[in-house]
Amino acid sequence: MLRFNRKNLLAGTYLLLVSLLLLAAFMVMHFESPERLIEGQWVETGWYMEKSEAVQDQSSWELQASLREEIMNELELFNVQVWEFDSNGTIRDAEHASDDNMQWFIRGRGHILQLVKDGKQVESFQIAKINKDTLELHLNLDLQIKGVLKIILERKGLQEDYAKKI
Amino acid sequence: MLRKYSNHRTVSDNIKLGGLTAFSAGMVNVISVIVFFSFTSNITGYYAVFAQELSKGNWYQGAVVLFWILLFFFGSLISNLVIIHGKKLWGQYISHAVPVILELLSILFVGVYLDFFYKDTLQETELLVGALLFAMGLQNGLTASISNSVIKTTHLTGLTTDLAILVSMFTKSKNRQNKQLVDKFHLLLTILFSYFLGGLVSGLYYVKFGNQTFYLVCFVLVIIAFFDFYKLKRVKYLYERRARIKKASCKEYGMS
Repeated sequence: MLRFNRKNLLAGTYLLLVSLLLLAAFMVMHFESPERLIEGQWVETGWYMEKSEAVQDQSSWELQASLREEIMNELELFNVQVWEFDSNGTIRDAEHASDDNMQWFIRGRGHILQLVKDGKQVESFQIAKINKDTLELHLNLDLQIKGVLKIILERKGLQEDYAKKI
Repeated sequence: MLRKYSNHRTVSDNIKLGGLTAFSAGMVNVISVIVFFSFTSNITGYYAVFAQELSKGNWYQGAVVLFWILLFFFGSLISNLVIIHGKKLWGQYISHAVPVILELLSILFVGVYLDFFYKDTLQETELLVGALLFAMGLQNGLTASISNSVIKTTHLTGLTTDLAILVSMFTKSKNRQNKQLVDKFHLLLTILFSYFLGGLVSGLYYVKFGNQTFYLVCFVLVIIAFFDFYKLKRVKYLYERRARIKKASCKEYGMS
């Protein structure tokens, strides 16, 4: 049977722990963080409602137009089709000029998107998924239906690139 | 509160230490949720989150969570290292106070950084949350180590379980007469309410004073670290005064 000297085993454990700490610190410092990934223009591709009180299949999650309109009224600032996250920390409607000076911040371990206007939080989303092509945001709602609103966005230009490839 | 070790500690020592450290942990946890959207006084949930992030292929977020878990670990490790090796170098009280001072410095660093340097970036947030987790690791390591694992103040999962067990035990009359169980019940209740009270104070204080809440936590830690220093000085002063009086009275009556 494989036997280890206890002293060496202990030294190996210390080394492993310190290496893990340094590796994690290196990744935090140098890997592509959600804060860098989110910069740029994102096109809305779908709004979905996940009801908390009923299990529904994927196809029926598509949001009804009236419900979407109601949510839009509540969240008029998000009534845009293309979201632009500037590297200077501001978010705006990429297709229409606006005076809104809204700022975005990524919080937690990179899983919260917070929108702030005039120093006050407007809304905070949970970032369920983020990569260079897709952004999926979840928002807890308490409108006519309690549940989670899912907003799926794709990097602008992705669909055109795909069309060009085809 | 800090100068005694393991079984030499009285119930009163444990209640004072448990109450004050739980109060500071509650404060830190609530303010970190408000400012950073992250819990910092416990890491149970982070193990689950770590596994979840890895399963989703979110390597960056996984690394962040691992970094936090390891900082809590190293906080506890350093705390115990100082306690077991520092006794010969500086004496028991100082070796127990050093982890509290390190914790204070970590929290002070977060407060000062937020006040003067913070640019609201994710990377800064992650490092500051890490500093708070390191501080909580130091505190948990200290209290668990010097109290023979009787006091753990940064998370309440085990405490709630112990409390539930005690409450069920008190359905028997002979257990209600058992001083040890009753003392433990008082200790757990003190920790529970102190933690809650700390969180409440922190939340209310933050509304009025913002990031200065971190300095209030530091003040609580100063009390913890220097409470025994004051007591030791007072005991020394009383001892010396008594010796002086005795000497003077001996002189007066011509006794050698």
